[in-house]
Amino acid sequence: MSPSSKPTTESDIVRVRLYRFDPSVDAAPRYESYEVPCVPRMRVMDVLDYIHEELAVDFGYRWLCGTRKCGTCAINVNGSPKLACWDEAEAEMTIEPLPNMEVIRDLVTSRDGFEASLAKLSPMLVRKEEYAGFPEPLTSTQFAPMEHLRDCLQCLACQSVCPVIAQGGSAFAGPALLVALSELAQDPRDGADRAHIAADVAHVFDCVSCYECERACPAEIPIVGEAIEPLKRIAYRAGEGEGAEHAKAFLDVVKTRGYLNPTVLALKTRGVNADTLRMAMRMIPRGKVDLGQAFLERKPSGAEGIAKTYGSAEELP
Amino acid sequence: MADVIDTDVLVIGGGAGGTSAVLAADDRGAKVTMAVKGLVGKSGCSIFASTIPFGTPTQHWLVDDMSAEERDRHRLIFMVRYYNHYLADQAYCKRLEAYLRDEFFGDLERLGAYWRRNEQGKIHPTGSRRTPNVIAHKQGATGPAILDKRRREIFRRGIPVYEECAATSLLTDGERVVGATVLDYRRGRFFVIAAKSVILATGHSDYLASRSTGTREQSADGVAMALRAGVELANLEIQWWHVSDVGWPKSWMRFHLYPNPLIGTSETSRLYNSEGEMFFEQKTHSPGVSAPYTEQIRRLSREVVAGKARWDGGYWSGYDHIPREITSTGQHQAKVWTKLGLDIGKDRIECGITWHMRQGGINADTKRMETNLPGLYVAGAIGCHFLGGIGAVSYDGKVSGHAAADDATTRKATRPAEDAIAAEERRVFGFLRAGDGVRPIEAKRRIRAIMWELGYIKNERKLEAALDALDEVRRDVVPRLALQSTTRNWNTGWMDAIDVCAMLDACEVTVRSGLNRKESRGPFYREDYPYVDNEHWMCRNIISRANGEWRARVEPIPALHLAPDKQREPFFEADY
Amino acid sequence: MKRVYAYFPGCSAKGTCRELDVSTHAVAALFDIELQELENPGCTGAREFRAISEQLHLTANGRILALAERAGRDLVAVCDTCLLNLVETNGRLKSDAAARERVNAALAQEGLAYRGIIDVKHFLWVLTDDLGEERLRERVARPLRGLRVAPFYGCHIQRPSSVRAAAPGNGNDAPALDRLCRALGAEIVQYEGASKCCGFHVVNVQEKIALRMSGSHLTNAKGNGAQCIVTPCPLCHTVFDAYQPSIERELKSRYDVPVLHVSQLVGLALGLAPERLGLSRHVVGCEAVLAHIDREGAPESAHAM
Repeated sequence: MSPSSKPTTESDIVRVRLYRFDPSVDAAPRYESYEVPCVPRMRVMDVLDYIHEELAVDFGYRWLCGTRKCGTCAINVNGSPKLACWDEAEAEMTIEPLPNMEVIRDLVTSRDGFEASLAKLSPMLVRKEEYAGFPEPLTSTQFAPMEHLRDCLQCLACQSVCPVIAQGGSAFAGPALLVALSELAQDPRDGADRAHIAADVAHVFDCVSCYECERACPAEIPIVGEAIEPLKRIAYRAGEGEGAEHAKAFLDVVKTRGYLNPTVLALKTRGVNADTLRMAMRMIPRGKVDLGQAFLERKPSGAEGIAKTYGSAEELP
Repeated sequence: MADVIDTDVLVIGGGAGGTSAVLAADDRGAKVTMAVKGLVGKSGCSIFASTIPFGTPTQHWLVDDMSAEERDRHRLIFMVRYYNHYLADQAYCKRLEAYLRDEFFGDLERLGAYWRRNEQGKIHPTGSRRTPNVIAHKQGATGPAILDKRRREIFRRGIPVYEECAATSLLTDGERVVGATVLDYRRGRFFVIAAKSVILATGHSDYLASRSTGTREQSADGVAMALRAGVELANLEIQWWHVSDVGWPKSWMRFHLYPNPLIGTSETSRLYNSEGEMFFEQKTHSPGVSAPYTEQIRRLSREVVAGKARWDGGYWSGYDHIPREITSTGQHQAKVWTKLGLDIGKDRIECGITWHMRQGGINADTKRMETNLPGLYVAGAIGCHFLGGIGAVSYDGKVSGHAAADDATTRKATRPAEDAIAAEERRVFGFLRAGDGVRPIEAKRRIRAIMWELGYIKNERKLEAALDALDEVRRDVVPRLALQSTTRNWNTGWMDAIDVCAMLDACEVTVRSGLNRKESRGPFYREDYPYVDNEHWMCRNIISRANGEWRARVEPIPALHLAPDKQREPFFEADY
Repeated sequence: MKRVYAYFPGCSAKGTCRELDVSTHAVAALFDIELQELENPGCTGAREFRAISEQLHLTANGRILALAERAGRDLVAVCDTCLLNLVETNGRLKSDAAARERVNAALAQEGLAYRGIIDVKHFLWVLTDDLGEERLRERVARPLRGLRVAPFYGCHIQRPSSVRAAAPGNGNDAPALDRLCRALGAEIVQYEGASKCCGFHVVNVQEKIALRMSGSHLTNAKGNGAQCIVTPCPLCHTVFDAYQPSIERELKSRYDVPVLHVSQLVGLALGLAPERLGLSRHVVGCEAVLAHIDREGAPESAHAM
């Protein structure tokens, strides 16, 4: 997770700016300041507990297990998501609810959006064959790719930092949903059309690969490499989604030319329309687009070797 | 007038017992509704399950050199003697065994649980030879993996679930239970669920002492609601303590440094007193018992009495005698060391005891899990027939779910009486008052301090003192409770106030029950009765209250399959 | 001291952002750095090969690494996404024998083999750490005094942790781009979005997402007084520069914020003429930046070209 500011060991006091907002009575959020005596290795939760229990401040915060299993205590500390029970307190903290979620009160946000999105993904094992009884034939090798995905607490820290979700206007499901989907999609027992769900319901190809989700994840799950990319591959194999077509076009151009010609790719993926013509008009005069290179170039000598080597690799998982 | 939702079977509680009951009742065709104070599969202690003990399908183990009979015998010994101190219903134990052997693992695997295999496909156990444990996902993280599957299945079936909705009272018509009042504390909405059958699955890990593994919302509501409805409770005083829980920071008191063997080895952690002397190691002092907490605290108490440890610190747990490669792989707690900036191969962590799980609870007939209040059933650790554990409470859920569903078909729907609903609504909203006075969280802290002070070493004087102290809170503090805000949105103070009343009831009945048991047993130690007395006290120590009067009785527990070696022995000599 | 590196320009620097390749060579020449461009290296695959097959991703990048190893030189990239692909693959193939075997089986067809004997760097790091900030400072001919620069790092030089670990100081130092700007005498503008995402990798299938994401960074940078953006990634450059008019249309705003490649900013400060740095190829004109430097930065040494 993101690095902390000054560690509490260097301070006697923890200074907190606490976000307060009750949508049923407040016109706007406000911040209240508190000072909490520092205890070595204090967690953020210790600070919140002190404010609630010792200072008897009735603010809303949600936590259940206190041991990094339930994922319900995720909040923002100094602009980054943290698990209150797990992460160490800092000497100065602005504590706020996770962003991009409806606030119920103060630090408590609604999980309804997440639950609704999850329900759309068929989040249960859909067996290819009827269950034949315990134990079914499985090996650890089959489940090794999902090992880290099963660490997910559904804390929604990743959802809160995803820029695609934040900017709105996209049906992108988000990293936490994709982790759940990926665990099922890679399960050898599952027979649902996960390629379709990934591409057309979860819109996995809308992922911009910024890795903010990985940075935020308290369970340190390699979300992009182990959840999202396997889903893209599953969609690709099934030919599902514009993103899969784009990837295929990309590979085809490289195999043909020995390198990626962006003009050719853009034309293959987007075609000729008002938008691409506008871009072309902008870029051709400045030499950013070289039509000669795009259309008249002879196939470079190295392209065949590349095509052969890539060709043998692309069939493998 | 509060809204009323009608259903056949109401399940209160969202852990392993509750989720199992919901699915079982639904399987039987009943209309099921669920009310959960926290979040299904995230609140309560089910998610703390590290491993599942007494796994049975031995032919699939990695290595098994024990005969089926020998394994059965070890399992019975573990269940009856070490896990329940001869207070378990032994007929129930045998039925539970069959369920664990034939149904439990398959039921969860059907839903998609992955019981850990090796590369050849054999189930990969941990634990001792005598009581192997199974894990779904990781040691230290089996609970969440299982509960999440149940949660998703419940939602897939479209069963209505009211989360962050606390049941506040049971409604009866004088003869049987007819439903419950519920407060949705996200928005402060009070409503009623009218049901033909009600299953209480509220668990056993309540936050009743200053250091407690109980999660935030666990204030023994099930015990309190049952008590107020005149339901019999038993063995509440058999209250387990964890010993090797992280001492500080305080929020980490729920982090349990498992004393059990690590995956793939027989190595266990060690406990050291303030002089660095080792005073407990499971391998040596409690071999083959994968829940050695009673022995741990007995040994700790000696150190405390000798001034070489305290109840909340001054003793340490460590893995530094075990190679790092073993302690760092495949288990949850290695991260505790890392996160604290410590080296598990070198450093020890200071510990404190924590109020953990309660063996006792609501008295029920284990054939159908029904209580003395018709229509009211139990599922899981809220009962007194068995300590708990994901496997056992799942069994209870199946039994109670089927029974509750079957019985519901024979019952007429009864609308709860309006005056009863109104009275409870007044009670609950009575706490929604702002002003100067005592903040409910302060009352909670006081109650927890009383139970912490009572602690492990008990005697009649201390028990009576605890009763007096609780009574003072009830008489003097509760009437003065006042909140900072009267908002209905997630009003933490309001919830605290309601919880305070439940805690007072639950703590009072627990202390009274403790006064009645005149012996020591398992985690229950009375220095004025420092011996195990199987002649008189191998029984359900039953207590209830009706019309303001306390009633007590005992029901001997037959030693159907296993009897204690001695009728009476000094507590510190008994190995259970 | 002559420094020699294997050089992988990547498909953007040879195509849409050819000015990056040109200016990189121009700056390298100033410091007696030889960049030996790999012949027919293929492509690192952007984010597309990973979406097709892991083996394809590892093989394509393993091939580029093998070519650099054959030259016996550490490999320099000038694009964040190429950097991440190469760094990750290098790390994976060094530690995972089975993966290495599979890749080498494919590479054997061309008589290539990956052995795990070189490191991968960004050209930015070569400047700030192989050469060093002191050396950069010494060679500044036209200090950028007061030029308000908004650094935009690009995701793949910061995240995930494997690429941070490959950075100078294992990612614990101040960002190399900041150190570079300071060494050149620029003033760094703080703004929200500096370490966020431009959206390039969905620009062909979900253009609006990229436009909105980058638009907000432009708004913030400009709002905090930035005169230009500088970035070590040509993909980010493409969104901010070539797509700036599209962003303006989408967000109904005007920006006129020029976007410079790292090597262009360095080249200007070192006194290279704008023509040698390909600035005229940009969609958003750099005249204002040039005018600022002309006004504020007097030539200080005979190194001016």
